[in-house]
Amino acid sequence: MNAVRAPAVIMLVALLIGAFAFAAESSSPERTDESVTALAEWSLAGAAADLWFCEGPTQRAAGVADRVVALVNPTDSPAEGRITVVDESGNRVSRTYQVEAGTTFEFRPDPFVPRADYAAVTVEAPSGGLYVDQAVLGEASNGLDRGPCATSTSSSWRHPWATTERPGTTAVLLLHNPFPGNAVADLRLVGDLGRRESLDSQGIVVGSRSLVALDLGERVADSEVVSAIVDVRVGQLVSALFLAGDGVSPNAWEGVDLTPGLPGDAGRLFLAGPGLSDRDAGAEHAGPPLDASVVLLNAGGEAVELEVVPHPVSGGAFVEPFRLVLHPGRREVVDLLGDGRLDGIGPFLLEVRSFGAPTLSAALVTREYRLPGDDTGEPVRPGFDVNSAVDHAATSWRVRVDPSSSATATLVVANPSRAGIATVQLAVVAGPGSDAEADAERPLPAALELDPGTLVEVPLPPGVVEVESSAPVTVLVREVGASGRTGWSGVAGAGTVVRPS
Amino acid sequence: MDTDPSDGRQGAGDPAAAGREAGPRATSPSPLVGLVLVAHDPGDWFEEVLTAVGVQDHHDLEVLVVDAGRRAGLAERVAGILPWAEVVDAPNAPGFGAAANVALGRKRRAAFHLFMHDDLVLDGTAVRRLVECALEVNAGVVGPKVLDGADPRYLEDMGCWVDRYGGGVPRFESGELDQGQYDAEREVFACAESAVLVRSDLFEAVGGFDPEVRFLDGALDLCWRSRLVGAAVVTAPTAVGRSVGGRRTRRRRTDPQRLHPRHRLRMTLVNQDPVQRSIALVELALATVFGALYGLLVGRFRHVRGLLAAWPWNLRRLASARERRATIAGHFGSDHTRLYVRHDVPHRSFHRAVTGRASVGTGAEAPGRLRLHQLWSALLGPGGITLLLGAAVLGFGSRHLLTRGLPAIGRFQALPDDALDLARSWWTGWRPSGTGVDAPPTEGFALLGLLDGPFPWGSEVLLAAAVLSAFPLGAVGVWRLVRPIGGGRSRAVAVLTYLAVPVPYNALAEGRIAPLAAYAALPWVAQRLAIAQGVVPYGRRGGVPGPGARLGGLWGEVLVGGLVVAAAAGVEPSTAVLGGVVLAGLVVGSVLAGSPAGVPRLLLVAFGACVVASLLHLPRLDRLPDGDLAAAFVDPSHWPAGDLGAAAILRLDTGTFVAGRLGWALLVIPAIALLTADGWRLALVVRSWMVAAGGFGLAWVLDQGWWAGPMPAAELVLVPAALGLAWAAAVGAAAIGVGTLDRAFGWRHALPPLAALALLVAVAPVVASSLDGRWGLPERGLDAAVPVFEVEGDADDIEGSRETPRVLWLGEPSVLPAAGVDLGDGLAFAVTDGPADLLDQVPLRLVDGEGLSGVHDAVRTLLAGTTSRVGGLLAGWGVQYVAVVERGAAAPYTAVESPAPDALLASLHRQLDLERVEGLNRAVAVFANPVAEPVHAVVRDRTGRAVPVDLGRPGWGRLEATMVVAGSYRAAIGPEGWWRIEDHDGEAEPVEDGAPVLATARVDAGDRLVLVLDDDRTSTGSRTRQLAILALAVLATSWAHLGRARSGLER
Repeated sequence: MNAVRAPAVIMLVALLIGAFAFAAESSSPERTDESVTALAEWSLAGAAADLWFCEGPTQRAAGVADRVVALVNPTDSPAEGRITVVDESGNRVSRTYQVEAGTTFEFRPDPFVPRADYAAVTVEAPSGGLYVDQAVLGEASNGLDRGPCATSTSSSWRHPWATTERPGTTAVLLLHNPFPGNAVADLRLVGDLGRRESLDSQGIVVGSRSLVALDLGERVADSEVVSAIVDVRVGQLVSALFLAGDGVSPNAWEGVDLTPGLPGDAGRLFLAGPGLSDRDAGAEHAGPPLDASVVLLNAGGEAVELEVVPHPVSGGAFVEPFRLVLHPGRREVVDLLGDGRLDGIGPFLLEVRSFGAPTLSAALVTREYRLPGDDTGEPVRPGFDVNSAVDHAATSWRVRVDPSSSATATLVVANPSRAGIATVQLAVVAGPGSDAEADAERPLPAALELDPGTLVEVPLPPGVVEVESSAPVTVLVREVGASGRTGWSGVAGAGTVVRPS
Repeated sequence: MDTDPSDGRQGAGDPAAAGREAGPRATSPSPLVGLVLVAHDPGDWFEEVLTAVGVQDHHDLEVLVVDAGRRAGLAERVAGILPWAEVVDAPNAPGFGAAANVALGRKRRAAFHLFMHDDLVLDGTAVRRLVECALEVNAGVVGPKVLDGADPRYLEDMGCWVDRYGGGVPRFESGELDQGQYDAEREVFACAESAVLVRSDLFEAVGGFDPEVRFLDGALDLCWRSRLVGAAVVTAPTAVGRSVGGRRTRRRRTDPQRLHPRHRLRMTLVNQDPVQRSIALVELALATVFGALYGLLVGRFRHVRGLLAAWPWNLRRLASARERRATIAGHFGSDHTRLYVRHDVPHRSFHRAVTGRASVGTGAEAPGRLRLHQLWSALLGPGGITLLLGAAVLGFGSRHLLTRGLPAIGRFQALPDDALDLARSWWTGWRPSGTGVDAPPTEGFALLGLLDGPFPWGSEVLLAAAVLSAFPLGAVGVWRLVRPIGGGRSRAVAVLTYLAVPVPYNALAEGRIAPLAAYAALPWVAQRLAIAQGVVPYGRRGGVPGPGARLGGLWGEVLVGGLVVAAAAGVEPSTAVLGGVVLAGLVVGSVLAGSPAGVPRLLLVAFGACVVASLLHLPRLDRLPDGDLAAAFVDPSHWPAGDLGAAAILRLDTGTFVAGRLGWALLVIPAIALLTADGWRLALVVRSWMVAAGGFGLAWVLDQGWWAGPMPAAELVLVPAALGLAWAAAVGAAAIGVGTLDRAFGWRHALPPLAALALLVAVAPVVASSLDGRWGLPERGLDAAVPVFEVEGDADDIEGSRETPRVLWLGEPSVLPAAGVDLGDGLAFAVTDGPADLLDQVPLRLVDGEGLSGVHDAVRTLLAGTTSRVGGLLAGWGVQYVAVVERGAAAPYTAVESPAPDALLASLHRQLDLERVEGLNRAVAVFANPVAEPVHAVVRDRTGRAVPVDLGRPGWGRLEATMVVAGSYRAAIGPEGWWRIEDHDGEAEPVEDGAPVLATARVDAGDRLVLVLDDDRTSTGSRTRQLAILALAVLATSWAHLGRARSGLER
C-alpha cells in the first residue's frame, strides 16, 4: 500500500500553530477577597429583595421619648412586604405593609411589643427599592439620633466607643438575630482598666428571631470609655449600641445615640472630618462640634502600628498624622483638638491606616456643639454623636432628611481615593412634595468635583437625595437642631460598593 | 511406506505376479482376505485407489467392488485397472453399511473382510500389515493409520474412542503431524472409518454393518458390537493409507450434522444395555432440547434439524433396532461400559451432544484449554508481559481502593441500600432523584445493580472494581486493537502508552464516571471501525492481513459493530459521540494518507451500526424530543474558556494528576511513527493521528468557549486523543525497527533508544502515583462531611414514619455528589432524597420532572437575590436542606476545591427561613429549611398545616401512606401523572398550583393510601421491546458471525 506523509504532517502542523496562535485567554475569574459590603445598601426596584434591620429602644427605655421607623418608597410603584418586630423577651409580631409610590410609611415599634424596652424590626422588601431609616428622640427633646437601618448581617461586630460613666449614662448593646437558627456570640469588653472578659460574656445565645439587650453598665461599670467586640460563633447577627445620658455624669454626657456596629475589621478606614472650620468661622451649615475624638480599636491578636491622617481640603496645608501602636484587644482615644495641630486647616478627611494586620475599627465621637447662626460662643447641650468609620466607598448613594424635622442638614461627600477626581451629581428622588419653598431655599448644586482626599459639604433639602459619582465616594449627613446633633452615613447602592484605591 | 502409484500400475491385473515380486514373505501361507470396496460415484481419484489395491503384497486377496452410486461406468473403470476384480451393483444407493453387507451373503472362504471406502489409497503393504496385526494380537477388528491425502505429513484418522452417547472422540486434534506419537497405543474403541479389517466369523456373528447407518459411523457401530461380543479392536500403525477424496460432507446425504445425531441415538438404542440405554436416552432428549436452543442461538440450523430429526428417524426404525439388539442380546451385561468410560467425562459428552462438535478430544486438547494455552502464549509475549506488568502496577496502585472501596467523591457514590433499585429504575424509567424524574439510569448502572447480589465482597468493592475495571478493559481493548499491526512489541508500547495518559487518573481523582467508561469502551469501538474499513492490517485491502485479523462480512460487521456501540453507549452514552470522532479521524486520515480504500465500507458499516445501536436504545431515544439533546446525556462540568490552554491539552494534562513537562513524552513515539513509517504503516499512523487530532480538536474547541451547551469533562473529550496516540505508538513501535539494522549507521539507529526513553518517561508518573495505593484519591469522601442527612434511628424507622430528608445540592458540578442541572457560571444544582447514591449520578434535565423545574426556579430566584425566603419557595417540594458544596471530599483530605460564589453564600445567609447548620466540615455549608413540608403530607383543613403521614415502601414503584389526621393528602413526588392512588375511595381533588404534583385526595385519619407507578407511564413495555430487540440482534450477530466463520473454514 502506498501512502503519503506530507499532507498529514502539514495539516497537523497547521492545526498546532493555529491552536497556539488563536487560543483564547483564560476567562476563569480570579477569586479575590476584595468583596466589601456596606452596612446599608439599597437595590433598584425589582432588582433584588432587601432586608432592613432596625434595632433600638422603645419609649419604655430610659431617656427615650420616641422612636419612629420610616419606610420610604421613592419608586414609581407600590411596595409591599412584611414587618416583623421582636423584643428582648422573645415576643414576635409580624404584619404586612404596603407603601404607595413616592410616599413614606412611618410606624412605632412600641405598640407591637408594648412591654419591651428594646425592639428590633425586620422589614422585608421583596421588590427592593425601599429606603428605611429610624429616628430616636431623647426624653423631653433631650437629644436626637437618626440614621438608616442596616441591611447587613455579620459574624463580627465592633463598637469602638461607649461609656458607662456613673451616674446618668446608659449603654446597651443590642444583638438581633433575624434568622430561624440560634446564634451564639462571644463578647469582649474593653474598659478603662483594660480588657474585660467574663464567663457570662462568652457563648451568649441569641435565639432565632430574637433580640438580646446587654446593659454594658452591669458588666463594665463606671468606665469612661467602653469598647465592645462581638464575635459570632454560630450564625449571623445585627448589632447596635444605644447610649443615653442625662448630663450628670462626670463628662456630662447628654442626649441619645443609636450607633450601628462596624461589621468587621479593616486596615484602612475613613471618616469625614467634624467640620472644625465652622468652629472658628461661624456656622454655615451644621453646627460645629466643640470637641472631637477618634476612638481606635484593635480587635485582632497582634499589635498594630497605625496612624490617623488628616487630609485637609486645602491642598497646601500639611498636618502631622497621629501615630500610635495599638496592642491586641486594646483601644485608644485620640483627641483631635487637644494639641491644636488641626487648628485653622479647614475641612478635612480623616484616614486611619494600619501598618500591620487589618484589624482596626474606629469611630468619631463629638459631644458639644453650637447651633448654626449662634454667635454667643456658648456650647449647646444636649447632643453627643458617634459616627463610625467606614472602609468602603460607592458610586451611588441615597440619603434622606425627614421633612418634618426642623433641624439643619448638611451633606458631606468625600473622595477617599488616592487618585482620580470624582464628579458628583445630586438629585432629589423623593421630596416632601408640598415643601417647595424649602427646596428653593436649599437648592442642590448641579455637579461637584472632588479631588482625591478631599470632601465637600452642601446643605441638604428634605426628602430622599440620590448621590451619583463617577468615582467611589463616601457620603455622610449631619443634622443639627434644637434637640441635638446627629450624623449618619448614607445608604450605598447595591453593587457599587468598593474599597477605595 | 510405499505409495508410489507406478508400482501399482506395474502389477496391475496380476496379483500373483505382484506377490511373487514381494519376496520370501509373500510366498508364506496367508489367510484369504476379501476386500470389499464400496464405491459411491467416486471421483478422479478412484483409479489411484484401485491401483493401490492392485499392488498390495498380500497374496490372498479377493476384490469385490460394490457400486453403491447412481452413475454408470464404474465397472469399466474397475476393469481397466483390476480386471480380475468382481463388480456388483447395490441398487438405489443404499449407503455404506447396506452395500458392504453384500459380503454377508456370499459364501466365501475368506478369513477376513476388508471393507474400504472409495477414497482411501492404501500403502502397498497395508493389507498384509493389517492381517499380521490381527493375527499378532488376535484382534477381531483392525484399522489402518489414515493420513491426509493432500499432505501425508498430517494425520487424518487413527480410530477413536466413544463417549456415553455413542459419539466418536478422535484420538488427536485436527491438523496434527504424524510423528508416531499414537503408534504405541494400538487399542482403540473403533478403528478408522475408511478401512476396516474384520474377521469374517466375527462379522457374521455381529450381523455385519447396520444397514441403517449410512456413510458415517458404520465402522464405529461395527467395532462397538464386536467389542460387545468380546473381540479386540486395534489400529495397526504400520498399515497406512491416504484419504484422497477431499471433503464431501456438505452433501446432504452425508452431512455429519444430520447423520451423527441419528446414528448416536441408533447406537444407543442398539448397543447399550437396558439400564444404560434408559439413562442415555433421557440425557440425549435433554441434550436435544439444549442443542436445539443452542443451534438457534448461534444460527446452526442444520444442527438443529439433525438433532430434532434423529428422534422420528429412530422411532420409525425401532423394529430393526430390536432385531439387531437381539443378535447380541446375550452379551449385554458384560462390563462393556469400561470400553468407553475411560474417555467419558459426562459434562463433555453432554456438551458434545449439545453442540455437535465432536472433532476434538477430551484431554489437554479440549477447546477451553487450547484457548487457555493460546492466551498464556500471548501473555508471555512482550504485549502480554506488558499487560501483566500494567496489571501489577494498577493492582498495586489500586490496592486500598479495592480493599476499602472508593471514597464518595463526585459520581462515585454508594450503591442504593437495595442495589436492585438500579435495575428497577432502569426497568420502570422512574428515578427518585430531583423529586422524581423520568430519567432512568443507563444499562451499565442496571447491570451493576444486578451484580451486587451475587458479588461476594460487598457493594463498596463492587463499585470500586467496576470503576477500576476501566483500566484493564481499556488496556485489553487497545491490546486487541493493535494486535494485527505487528508483534508483541507494538502491543506493549500501545498498552503502556494508553495506560500512561493522565486522562483516567484525573477522571478517577475527580470522581468522574463518564471519562472512565469512555476510556474503557472506545478501543473496542475503534477496533470494530478498523475492521469495518478492512484495510491492511485489519483486512485484505492493500496487502496481507496482520496476525489475529478477522475478516468479516458486511452484515456481520454491522451487527457486531452495532452491538459494541450499543454496549458502550449503555455504559456511557457519550461514547457514541466519541466513536464518531474516531470515525471522522479514520475517514480524514485515509483521505490525507492518499489511501481511501475501504472508506465507503467503513461509512456503511458505521451507519448500519448506528442504526442497530439506536434500535437497541430506543427507550433512551424516546426522551430526546422533549428537551436538550446534550443535557440528556452530558454530566455538566465547569470549563471556563481558556482554562486548559493548548499545551495542557496536548499533554492531556487536565487535572490533579500532573506529569508536568514529562507529559510531552507521550507524543514522542507517535511523532516518530508519523515521520518514519511507510507503506501501510504510514497510512495507519496518519489515521491514528487524525483520531488523536479529533480528540485534541474537540477539547480545544470546547476550551475556546465556542460550545454553548452543557460542558463535558475535559477528560472525556480527550479519550480519542489518548486512543489515537496509543494507536500511533503501536505503529511506531512496529515501524521503528523495520530495516534499521540493515542500514548504515545513521540517525535511524537513535530512534529505538529514544522511543524507549520516551516510553519510560511517560510511564514514570503513573508508577510514582501508584505508591500511595489510591491514585491520589482521598480516604474519605463528601459523605464524611454531611452526616446530617442520614435518618436517625433504627432501620425500621426508615420504612416507617420517618422520611429521608430531601436535599438541594448547590456547587460546581464536579464536586456535587449527584449529577446536576447546569445553572451557568460554574454552578449546578441537584436534588436527592437523603445522601446521594448511584441512582443520582445520571444526567437529567429540567423537563424530566416538574419538581426539578420548581426547584430550579427557586434557585434562580435565590441567585438573583430577589427573595429573602427561599425556604418557603422550596418548602412545597419537600426540600429540607440546602447544601453548598465547596470540596469534593471532607476536609482535610485532598480533594478538588471549588469555592462557592460569594454571592450565593451571602444570599443564603440572608434568607429569613433558612437555618445554617453549624459544626460541619468546611467542605460543605448546610442550611436547614425549617419551613419545609413533608414530601407526603396531609394538609389539615382549618390550620393549613402539613402533617406527615406514616409512609412505607413495600416495593419499587409502590408506596403505602397511612394518614394520621384528616384533611387533604398530597405528595411532592413526580413526574406529574406517574403516580396514581390505588385502594382509596376518597374524593380526588385537582392538582394545586405549586408544590403538589400528584392529584390530592380527601382522607380521614387512619386511612391508608397506596401509591403506585402508573403502568401507562413506565417504560416496562419499551424495555421489554428493547430486550427483545437485543435478543434478536445477538441472535442475528451470532448467526452472521458463525456463518462467516464457517465460510472462512471452507475457504
